Amino acid sequence: MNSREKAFFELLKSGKEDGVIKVYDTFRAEFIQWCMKDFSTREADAADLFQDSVIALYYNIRNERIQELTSSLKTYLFAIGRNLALKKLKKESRMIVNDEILALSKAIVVDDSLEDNDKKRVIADLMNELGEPCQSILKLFYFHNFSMDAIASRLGYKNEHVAKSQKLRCFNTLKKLTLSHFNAEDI
Amino acid sequence: MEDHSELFEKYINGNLSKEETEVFESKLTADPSFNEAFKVYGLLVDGIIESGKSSLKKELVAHEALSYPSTKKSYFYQKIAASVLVVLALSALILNYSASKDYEAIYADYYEPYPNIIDPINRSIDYNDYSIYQQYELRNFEEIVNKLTIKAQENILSDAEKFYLAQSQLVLKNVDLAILNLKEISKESNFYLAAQWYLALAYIKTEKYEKAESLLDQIIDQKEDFSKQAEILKNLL
Repeated sequence: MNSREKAFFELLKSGKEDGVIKVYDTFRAEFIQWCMKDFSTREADAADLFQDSVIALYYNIRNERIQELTSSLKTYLFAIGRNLALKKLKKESRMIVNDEILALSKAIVVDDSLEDNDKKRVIADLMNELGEPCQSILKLFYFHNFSMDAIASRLGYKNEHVAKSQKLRCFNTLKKLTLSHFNAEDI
Repeated sequence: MEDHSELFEKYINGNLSKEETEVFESKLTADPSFNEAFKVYGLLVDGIIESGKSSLKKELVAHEALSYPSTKKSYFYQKIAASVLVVLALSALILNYSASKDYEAIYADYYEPYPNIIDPINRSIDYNDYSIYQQYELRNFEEIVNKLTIKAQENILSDAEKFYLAQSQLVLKNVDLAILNLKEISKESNFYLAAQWYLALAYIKTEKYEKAESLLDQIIDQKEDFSKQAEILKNLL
């Protein structure tokens, strides 16, 4: 990995707000060109795949699924993109994608997530009903993987214990909303 | 249901000792209510992660729309006299779309966020003093929606604010809410014609094609801004 890519990796790892956009702007053109050429997608679809790939990359790095890259950041990003493009093509039946190829591709890029999942989506919708600061605190902890200390400092709480109590209250509110939405068998 | 979330977090993060892990796992097998609570916890965490991904996706979609508009076919707000080129392009587009009537693609090709024409960013002022419109230019759409939605509850939104609230909602793909706000913009407003155009696009996005067609007809009849684009779009439906 060259020094520029290492800097990007560290930027994503640090969770700085402009990190994702910097990575997006750096690799977008090449990714879209590659995607349109190799998978015959329209530009808008290539951009959609690129966004999902960047999100998966960010999530995997922030959540320490990737602690250090064995190949370049670009290779990793494009591997995620390839995996997502194959899935998309399979779904659209535009290409006969052998399950074996898909499994192999999965093995290479680890879990890229962003799968359709009705229950997850319902809970994501219920999150909108929570309002602030609950949405931010839960997302910062569970998606962005920030420590309670960092969350306290970002959201202006006195200390990590206050932030932690607030997080617990928010989590329990979401739990109540969820349990009133699903019955036990559904879960 | 008893609260075990802290314990679940420790287990998932591997922060329990070997003995604690063994106790935890045997409890999962032996205690159905504990097991159910663990499943609910997992589901909630997955949902929160999904919500985080969805928010980030919205930010990237907005960044893409505003930073890379060059691929879109129509720059309606630039109001350039490109009618000849447009008519030439029209025949190609009709042939292209008519084969499958891909409304999603039509929307994607014609939807372009409206620029901030009210008070463009002046770098000499402090970030904290930026107006709603300057925040729009900075793509802080969620913040704009939050602020203006609160204001809307007090019924004190100007037409310009309604318009840019709807714009932000369109970028964030909250199209139904955008429709409600666009419909409220008065005929006297400078944003009325633009609002009608975006309303037609929003109808296409929400598959209300008859409403879209009828609105496009009105825009065409007015023979003012957006009538050319409306004519082209109407022919694609």
